[in-house]
Amino acid sequence: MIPYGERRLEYHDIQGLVQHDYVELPSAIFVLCQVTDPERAHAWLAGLVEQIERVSRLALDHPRRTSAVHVAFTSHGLSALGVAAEVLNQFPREFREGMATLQRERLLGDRGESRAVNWEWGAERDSTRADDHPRPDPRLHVMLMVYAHDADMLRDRIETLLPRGTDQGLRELKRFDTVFLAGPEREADGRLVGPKEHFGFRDGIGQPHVAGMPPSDPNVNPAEGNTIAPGEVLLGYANSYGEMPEGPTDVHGLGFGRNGTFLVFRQLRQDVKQFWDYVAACSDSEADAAIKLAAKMVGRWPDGTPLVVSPNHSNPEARTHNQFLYASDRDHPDPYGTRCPIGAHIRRTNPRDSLGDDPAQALELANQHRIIRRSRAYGPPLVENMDPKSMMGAVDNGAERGLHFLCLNAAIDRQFEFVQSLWANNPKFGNLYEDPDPLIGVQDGRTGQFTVQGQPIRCRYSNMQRFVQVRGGAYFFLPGIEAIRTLARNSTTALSR
Amino acid sequence: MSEQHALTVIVPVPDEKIEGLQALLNAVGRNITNPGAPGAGSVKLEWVRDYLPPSHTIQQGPHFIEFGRLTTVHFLRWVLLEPARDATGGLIAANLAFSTDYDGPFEEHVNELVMVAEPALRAIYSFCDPSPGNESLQAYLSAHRRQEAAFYRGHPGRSTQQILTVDNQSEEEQRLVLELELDRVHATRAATPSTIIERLRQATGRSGWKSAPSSGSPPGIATRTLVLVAFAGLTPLGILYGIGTHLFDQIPARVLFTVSMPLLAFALFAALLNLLNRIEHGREQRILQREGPPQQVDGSIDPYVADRSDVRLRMVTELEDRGPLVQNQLTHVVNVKPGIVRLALLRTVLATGNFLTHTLFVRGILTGIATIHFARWVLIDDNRRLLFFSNYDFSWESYLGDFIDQASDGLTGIWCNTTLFPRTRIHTVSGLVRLTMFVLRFLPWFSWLPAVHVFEGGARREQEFKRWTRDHQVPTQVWYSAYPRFSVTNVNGNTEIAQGLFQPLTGDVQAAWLRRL
Repeated sequence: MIPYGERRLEYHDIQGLVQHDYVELPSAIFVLCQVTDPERAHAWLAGLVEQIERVSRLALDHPRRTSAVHVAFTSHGLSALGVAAEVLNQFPREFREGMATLQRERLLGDRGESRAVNWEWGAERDSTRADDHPRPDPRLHVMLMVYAHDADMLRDRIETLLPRGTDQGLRELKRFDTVFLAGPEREADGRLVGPKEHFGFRDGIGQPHVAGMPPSDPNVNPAEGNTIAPGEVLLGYANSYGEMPEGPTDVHGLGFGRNGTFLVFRQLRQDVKQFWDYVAACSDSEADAAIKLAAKMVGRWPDGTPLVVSPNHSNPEARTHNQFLYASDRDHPDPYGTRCPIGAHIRRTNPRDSLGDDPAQALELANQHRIIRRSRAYGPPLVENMDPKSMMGAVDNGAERGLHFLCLNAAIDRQFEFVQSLWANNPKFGNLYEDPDPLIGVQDGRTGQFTVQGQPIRCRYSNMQRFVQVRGGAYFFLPGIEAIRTLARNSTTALSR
Repeated sequence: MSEQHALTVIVPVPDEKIEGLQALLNAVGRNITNPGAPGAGSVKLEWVRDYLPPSHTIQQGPHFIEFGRLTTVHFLRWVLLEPARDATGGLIAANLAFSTDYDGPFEEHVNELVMVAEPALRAIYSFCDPSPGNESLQAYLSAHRRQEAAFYRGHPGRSTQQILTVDNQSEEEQRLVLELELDRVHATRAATPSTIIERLRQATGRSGWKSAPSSGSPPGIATRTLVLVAFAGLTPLGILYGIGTHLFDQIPARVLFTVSMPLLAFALFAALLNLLNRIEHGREQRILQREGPPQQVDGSIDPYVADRSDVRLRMVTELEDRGPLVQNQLTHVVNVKPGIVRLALLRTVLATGNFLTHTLFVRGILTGIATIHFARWVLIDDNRRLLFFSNYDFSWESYLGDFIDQASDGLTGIWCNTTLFPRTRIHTVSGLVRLTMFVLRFLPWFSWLPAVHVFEGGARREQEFKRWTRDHQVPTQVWYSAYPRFSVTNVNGNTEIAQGLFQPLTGDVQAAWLRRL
């Protein structure tokens, strides 16, 4: 039984991004802004707030929607917009300090090229420290997120929200374009299978169901084993420990934090060519074997079929299948990783019931670290048709491509940072020895390996490389609607406690 | 079979020497070179020369200290405990705490410490009062040794040398030989489990191993302990029943009497404890509200206005996750609540925990947590403060999460006797039943019992407990691990792998052993 707390979810006050992934709105753009004139920015926010998409009471009503707008703020941004220090100090330390700190570099595995001091955006050198310690870019304040049905509509929408030539009290720092990738497989109705990420795998399937939230995505499995307490995502509701998440809310869930959530944004560059070259080299350039190895690394086939369900070939029936377990799955138990390797990306980032001796307890504990993913790809695909076989022979034109990794959670330290450090980067995950996450983990060239469990013995791939590099990132707060209104009125102290 | 022990040495530091000692320790801790390689780790003299006391005669050689030459040490640390105030406001002077987790016996360990690191030890302890002077360091360390109240071991019976090297081959090297052979087996696509295992045995030649490594726990001790515990529990019940025979004629009445008396007594005890908790909590809250922002009195940190600044936290956190994210350390100091009751309770809980971890739970799992190498609690400063040292795997967040999810009752039992701990309530009516179930669940025969909590709140107040832990953490200036790339599961896994080479393996056991590789 999941503790709901006393209160029902206040749909009208929660930004719809918590509920929707907007897969039906394939065009999206994220704009980073600096607040230059707080007074004008307040007026801009006051106009914006009424346009923000909320959680909809009716499930699956998204086909009617043609665009959506959301807004999030860094701690510098809240401060620039006049949030009092006493309110800011109630936010958890991770959010206040930001992603670009020495401690988080180590924890998140941002080493070498991925160090925060080498990022394109989001960090700067800390001039108060002798060594090259990073700190968050203090100019980063607001992120405007716009989703639309097509590129033209998106352009119109962003032009009305941030019209050129008018001073809204904001300076635009950076625009992040996105791209919707799909194919080469087709659904029964002829649509290309997607969304995919640049390596060629279907993305965004495994999402938790938030108790009390009408599901907007038919793929989200509302079973108890996939359901998390509202307080795992939203401030002001009880979390899995039956407590209020840390933040500016009181025991009744009231305050500036109410109905807000934390948004983690990391720009991840993907070296697609390098990835497919590596798996091809490991498979004597045999395309099918290479695809199988890549699937072992991911835990799903490119079209989304989970390996636990179908370890030897993809299965169109099971493309979005997410109702499975590892240790105690009823139809395809896989406690030892012979179907889906223990170190596979999806098994690490959501181990379900597989860690420890007691599957029921393991599932409960794993669900204390869930995140809601809202990522979008960026940059041109290596090959237009997204077919791994074409990718293996493709010539890289050098264009940058990757993923704007976005996720939502109520406790960044216990959720996003935990998944990244303890499950993805940790070479000792699940009793392994030197195996970080084969896709996103930190590879230490000397020792990094990937183990594919088998009968009677395992197969081992060594000299793993790092196929993903971090180009920038920041922690944002995605407030509730009323909190944004308060922010626009510059009266956050009224909501403080 | 090797016995692992804890050494804790606490020596006062005069105020005027705190800064100098801190600078030296920081220089040592920052400059431990090559900490990633097993058995390595040393500090070059040139890195610390500027921080040595002026009176110190500079020794020869390139190294200030060579940790890698210590064969009896698992983990080692120096922590400077700054001046502070106890729960009643009394001043506590600065102390230098030194600790090792070592393979016994004690004399051999201390002799080795002095042999390998005498100049470094003399340099460090010349900042203390008393300093060793011309005294032998062995005598000095022994004289300032503090007995730990509880000591936990995550891989009991494994000596550093077994983990690192035995006859020039460690369990880890053994495993690597096996891994390489498995890669070859895979290439040839051979065969049945039996033939594979035969090849593996030939490949290692079982070399380097004169005999199978022993397992950690001495056999039979758990059963004997259980009998002892049962006896200790049943005797009072017998006596109660005896009294019951004088009071009641009917057997059901006597049984009811026998059962209800302990329940009643426990409920009374728990109710009184909850009352005490409530009073103390109220008092702490009043003090917290009365006192202003963090301030230092006479250079000491007042416990009720603990320095919660982000700067201090940064000092603690930047000492974490330094090599590859495998091992970490935690040093934690907190005031014991005032009064004889609290101290007595604390001692009882710690002694019980210590007894159980050394007898029943010898398999190396602290109530289900398989990520702690060594941990200890030590009462210091005339029992006014409780010191906690831990050497654990992975990140602080995951460690604290394990604590809360899997050991909250034990930790609440200990730390509810210390100041500012998150509010705790012990279950009164069902307390004894819960406690019995809680203990029984650790035994394999009772693992079907549902999980119950003896306490409400305490460590289960997740974010408050984490904040409380951070608030009382102290930067660990010098920290050395003999095998920094090994997790607890790696150490124990290597042992099982090595043991498999010597045992006849059949059927399921065979498959399970091959899976470990």
